[in-house]
Amino acid sequence: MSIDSSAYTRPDIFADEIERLFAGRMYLCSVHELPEVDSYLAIHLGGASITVRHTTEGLRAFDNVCLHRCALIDPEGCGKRPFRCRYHAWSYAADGALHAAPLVEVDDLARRALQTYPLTVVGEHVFIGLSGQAPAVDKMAYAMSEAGIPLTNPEPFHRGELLQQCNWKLLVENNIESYHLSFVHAQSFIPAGFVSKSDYAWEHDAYTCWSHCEPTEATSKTARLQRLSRQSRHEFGHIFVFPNLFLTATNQMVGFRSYVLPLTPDRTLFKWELFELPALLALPTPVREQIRAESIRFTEASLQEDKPMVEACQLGLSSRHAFIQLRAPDARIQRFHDYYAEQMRHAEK
Amino acid sequence: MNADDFIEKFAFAIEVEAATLALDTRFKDLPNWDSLNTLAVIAMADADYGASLTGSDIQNSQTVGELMQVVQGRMG
Repeated sequence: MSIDSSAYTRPDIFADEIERLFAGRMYLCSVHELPEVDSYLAIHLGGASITVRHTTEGLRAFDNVCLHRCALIDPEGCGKRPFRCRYHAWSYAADGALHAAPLVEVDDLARRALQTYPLTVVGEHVFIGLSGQAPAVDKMAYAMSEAGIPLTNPEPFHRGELLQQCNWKLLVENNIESYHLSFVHAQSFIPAGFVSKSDYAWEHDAYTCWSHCEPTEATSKTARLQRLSRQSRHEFGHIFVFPNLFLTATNQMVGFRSYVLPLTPDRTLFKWELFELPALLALPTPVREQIRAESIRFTEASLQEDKPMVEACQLGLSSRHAFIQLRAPDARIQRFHDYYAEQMRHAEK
Repeated sequence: MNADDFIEKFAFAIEVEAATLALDTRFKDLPNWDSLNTLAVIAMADADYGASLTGSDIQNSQTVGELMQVVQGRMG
């Protein structure tokens, strides 16, 4: 069975997904986005406005709604500023308690602390539990080791984001299958040696899955890559952490971290970062610079190639007779659908 | 730097016989030329001549001789 096509378009199902799936575990950002005290990242998801802040006591997550007149305390996005509402300067302490409210007696207030949410940090990856439970991410380290991605990595050398006119699940599905490579990626994966018929293997556990894609022996460039770096291999490793985080390792040189933030049933923000893996860090600077530049070009080309396809699926799924038929090359999507259905049912009990 | 030495190192980097190259060879027209060759040539220039090349340097050079001049200009 696959997810019903209406699950990609119905606002009520979208709201359920935010409440049931994303509330349990959601990737928010890397620690690199919150480098110093007073750095923040503020997002709006479903019915929640959240800010994650680097406080004097470490990373903390709060409702981003002022206790006074409900203005957003931090503007959406990333930045650095005091933990203080911009409207009437009500300010908050590192634990979310109201610290000061000009011209007001704080002790008279009915509510004097912001709602907080638990965070779990795996290496440099920050997850939030909007349900109030700490998000379970104990499986992630193993998947990362399988893909050859260290738990902590250098500051990304490039960041980007893309607004996609499609449901978040379409981006997940597009990310976890290699079936489409030969038909979509003329400017990226095909010249890089990865096609639909490449050797592809994948595994999964409870809420992660990971894959390896390697060119056939006849087209593999591993021997040539290893003249540059013995640690390199011509391969593409991929990890998915349900529901919204992807990590890839290209040729053991370049790491790619991306994640989806659902905005509406048919609009999703796709954010991404590129970082250097150990094999690349060990190379001379001019070679590193060239590989970094090439990986930016590759990634931007690949994302632009995918965008019209996932958006076309969204339009197709909105049509009256939409019906999804997953086949053998879609096995990893099937696993995603099974897990999705299990979580949605589980939450109903 | 002399031309024979540069051609030999260039040929080794891109895995062709040095005898098949000359200063007027348009290297990007070689049948095996690809982005990995660009990396290999950048690595060669750094390791053998202490010269920092960029992908644009290689893209903007047409012949082996032109590239040799760029490398010469970047040597410390």
